[in-house]
Amino acid sequence: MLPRISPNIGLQSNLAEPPLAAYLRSLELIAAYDQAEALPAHEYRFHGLSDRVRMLLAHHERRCDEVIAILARGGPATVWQVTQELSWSRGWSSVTGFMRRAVLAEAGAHLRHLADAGMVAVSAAEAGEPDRYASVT
Amino acid sequence: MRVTGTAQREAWLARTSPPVEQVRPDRWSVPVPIPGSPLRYTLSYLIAAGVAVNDDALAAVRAMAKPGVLLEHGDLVPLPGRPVWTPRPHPGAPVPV
Repeated sequence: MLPRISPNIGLQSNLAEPPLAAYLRSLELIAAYDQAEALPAHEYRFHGLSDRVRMLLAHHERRCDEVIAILARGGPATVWQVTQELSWSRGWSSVTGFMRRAVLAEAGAHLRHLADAGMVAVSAAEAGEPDRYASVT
Repeated sequence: MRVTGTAQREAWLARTSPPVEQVRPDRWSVPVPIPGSPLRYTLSYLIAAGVAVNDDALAAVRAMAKPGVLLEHGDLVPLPGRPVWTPRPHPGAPVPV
């Protein structure tokens, strides 16, 4: 929990459960500690955990809306294609190296979350091809 | 939201390292550098019982492997006990060895 930066919640092949759903549940638990001062691992200490939780929940809701809009506009797409279309604070061209892997995993986490919620359809990949996601609306 | 770590925030905005601060009667906040990262440092928490809880962000692990590094950034008195790292893996991050 950081006061300004939203953490990278990324889909990884070795995770037992989809990470975004677990993360959103954890946020709701943290909100109960609103009287506590947050001692974060980066940036600075702050009060107002429930406010911060609301901001992060809204951030992920907007992100999901953005993913759905991309699929509705452009048709079925791979995680890589969706990632390129998403808005990034420093712009896609500035996201390089390890950060590019991280944002790819983040987009994958949102797509998986939406697929689990029935808001996005996943078409099974053919051999050697990546899965494709599509809007269901 | 209300910022309580005002010195930390000033350091963040100035792109410098924040001070070591006593944030609880038995707890200190200690910035551990992360070379080459835009995050610049991890705030680790040193507990008087002699346990250091650390985020294992990249090079921070290597820095924390030498507890003396912690003391270079502040005026902490060495505490009794053996430091213990409780790593929080970063997805996709290299596994420290």
